Amino acid sequence: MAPRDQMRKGSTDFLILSLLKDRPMYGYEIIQQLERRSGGYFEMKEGLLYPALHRMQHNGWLTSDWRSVDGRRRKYYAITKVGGEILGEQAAEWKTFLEQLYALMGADGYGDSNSRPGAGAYQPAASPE
Amino acid sequence: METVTVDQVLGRISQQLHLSKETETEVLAEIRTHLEDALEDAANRGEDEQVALLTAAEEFGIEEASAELQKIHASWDGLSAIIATALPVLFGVILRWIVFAPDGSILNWPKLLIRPEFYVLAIAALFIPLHYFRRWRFALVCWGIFWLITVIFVIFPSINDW
Repeated sequence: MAPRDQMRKGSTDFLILSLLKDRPMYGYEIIQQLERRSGGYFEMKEGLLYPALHRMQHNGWLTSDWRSVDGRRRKYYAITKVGGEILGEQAAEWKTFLEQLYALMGADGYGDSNSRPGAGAYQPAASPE
Repeated sequence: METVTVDQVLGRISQQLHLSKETETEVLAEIRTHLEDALEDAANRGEDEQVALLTAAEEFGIEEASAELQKIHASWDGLSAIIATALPVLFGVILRWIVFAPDGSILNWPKLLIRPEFYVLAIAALFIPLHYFRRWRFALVCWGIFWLITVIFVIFPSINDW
């Protein structure tokens, strides 16, 4: 699995909770919203989404109900109070993770430690010749 | 090109699932809606529906996703089954010790039916499962078993010698 895919998989719960904190959504809508809001960067596969949704519901992070919209029955998921707390914890974890990552990248010369990665040019370490 | 229908895709997923009928029906209904949404979007974009369905089925990763869904729901169904069995038995035992006790003799029906403890137990036997289970049928089954146990206690008073 590519590093990018590993990072996506590791952030599945956080991404889903982040979307559902605004309003209840159904599975297909979650995938579409994720792609739209991230400019296509996050593409969640159905095979990853539905097991995650069902697991999170069993954990008590989400609730679900069936609604008929435009003649089609859809299962809507909504975040629970517990889910909101988990989202808060995960947001703090991700923030710390990214801060540490930025700091490390800056220290190693992958960019300016005071700015987001990618803003500065990649500076390879000097060869020991 | 291989032709495939939504029902065939769902059939392949269904083969991988060994869950309670109710759970499996709900899982498949949700996936069906997803596939139908994907097909509708593909048609609106002017894409070939067959290609869209094959892509959706491939992206779903039937074997892996089905195995994951099976793992999640099987443990839940198992736990639900244990609790569904344990709850009415628990209420039956409480009934035995609180309502029919303390002297060990049984009360006749009229006396039993005016004791508030009996109604507290009957309501608990209904509302605790209703609160716990997502499906009200499970709660009613629990309640039915509780009443069955209650009637057995009344009809066969020798059970109190246990």
